[in-house]
Amino acid sequence: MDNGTSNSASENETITLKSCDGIEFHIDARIANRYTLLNNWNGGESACIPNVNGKVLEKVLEWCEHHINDPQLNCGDDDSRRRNTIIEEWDENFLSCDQDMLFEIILAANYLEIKPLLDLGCKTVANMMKSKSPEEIRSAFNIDNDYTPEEEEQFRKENEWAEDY
Amino acid sequence: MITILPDECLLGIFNTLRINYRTLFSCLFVSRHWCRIIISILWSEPTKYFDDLRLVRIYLSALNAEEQALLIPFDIVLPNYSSPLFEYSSFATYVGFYFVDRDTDGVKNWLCKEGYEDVHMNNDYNYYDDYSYYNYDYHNFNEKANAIKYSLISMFLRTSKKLKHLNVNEPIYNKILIEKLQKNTTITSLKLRINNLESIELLSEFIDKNTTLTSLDISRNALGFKEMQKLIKALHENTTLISLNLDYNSLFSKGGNALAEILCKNTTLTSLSVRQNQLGSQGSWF
Repeated sequence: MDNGTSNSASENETITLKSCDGIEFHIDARIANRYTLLNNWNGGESACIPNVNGKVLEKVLEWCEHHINDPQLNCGDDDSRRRNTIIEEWDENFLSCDQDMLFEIILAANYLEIKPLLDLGCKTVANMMKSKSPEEIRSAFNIDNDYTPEEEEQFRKENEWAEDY
Repeated sequence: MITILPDECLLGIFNTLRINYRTLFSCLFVSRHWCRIIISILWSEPTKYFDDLRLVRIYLSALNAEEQALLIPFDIVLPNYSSPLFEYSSFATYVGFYFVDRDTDGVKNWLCKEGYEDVHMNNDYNYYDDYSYYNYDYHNFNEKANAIKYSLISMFLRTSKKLKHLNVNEPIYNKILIEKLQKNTTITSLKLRINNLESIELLSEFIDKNTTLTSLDISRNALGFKEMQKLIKALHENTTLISLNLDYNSLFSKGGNALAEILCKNTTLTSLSVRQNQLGSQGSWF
């Protein structure tokens, strides 16, 4: 089984990545090997990852490094990945940053196709919503209510079954 | 700001909450934008059991004229429901009807609430009490419930492009149901248990032509070998079915042999269940 540590990259090999604001990172080649999109930006002198700034990339790479020995998940295992809502302590601490950073990390993980980190971010945000009222969620994430009262009332009637499911 | 996240990320977040209906319900009312993403998740599986009469009410309010007409012969008149904000049935991925008692059957529950209980019914009706049970015109009531269920299934087949699982584990109009199924190309798992299957020919035709169905369960239909032969024949041509359940169908040894022949040729079927079929000693190769 290829666990991402074999073949082309040995333990001491490093590669260089550059964030969109020009900050360079030298990372274990095994990380880039594991996440295809990171590998795409490897090598080229002036190549840098668009859309991801140094602060965010640093966090993303820190996570990748910590999880370098995790077993690779099978593709198409979406459901079982989703159902597992338990978050490891290290990950929980890692993501207990401010909200803006959390969303930036999710955005970057989505962009760089780092699925396990994306899932982790989604779970973290989902946990912040659990057992909250719409008002509480709105104020937690700073969202405006754009329903009309009439609309909201009809919609509530149509969906009230879910409230006591 | 959470607003920097594209819809695909929000979808990922709400998918994590897939079975947490209460939280999804709250998220639904946060904003219209969120609602548009959540609605398809929230309404994808509440139809798995149909135990809530409020759900039945919403779906009934969206029947089209043709589906409503199915209820006329049974003297069922739908109240003047306002049309819903979404076509909720189009989000359904899993629809299931089971023969259960009145309390947990949303459709029967709806009928009672609407006053369709039979006139002969004893006021002291008690499901577990034999005396009141016999005084109750169960047949008539069931026919009404079946008509509604069939109209609902028709609607799901018409509107949902995502329907993957259909379980009709009670005797509901299986002939016209299978006719309708011929056109469907999304269902991968079909269960017609205890369905009094009377149109095995149609079903065989369906199996013969269908290329999406991977799992079929027609157990407990007491079909017998003669009927089943037609279906077994259809299996010769089918290359998509992976799992087949034929429990309690009185196949006897002849059926066992015919199935054995299929298994020699068919390379896609990996799971076959034939419990309680009196296959006899000749069928003991199972």
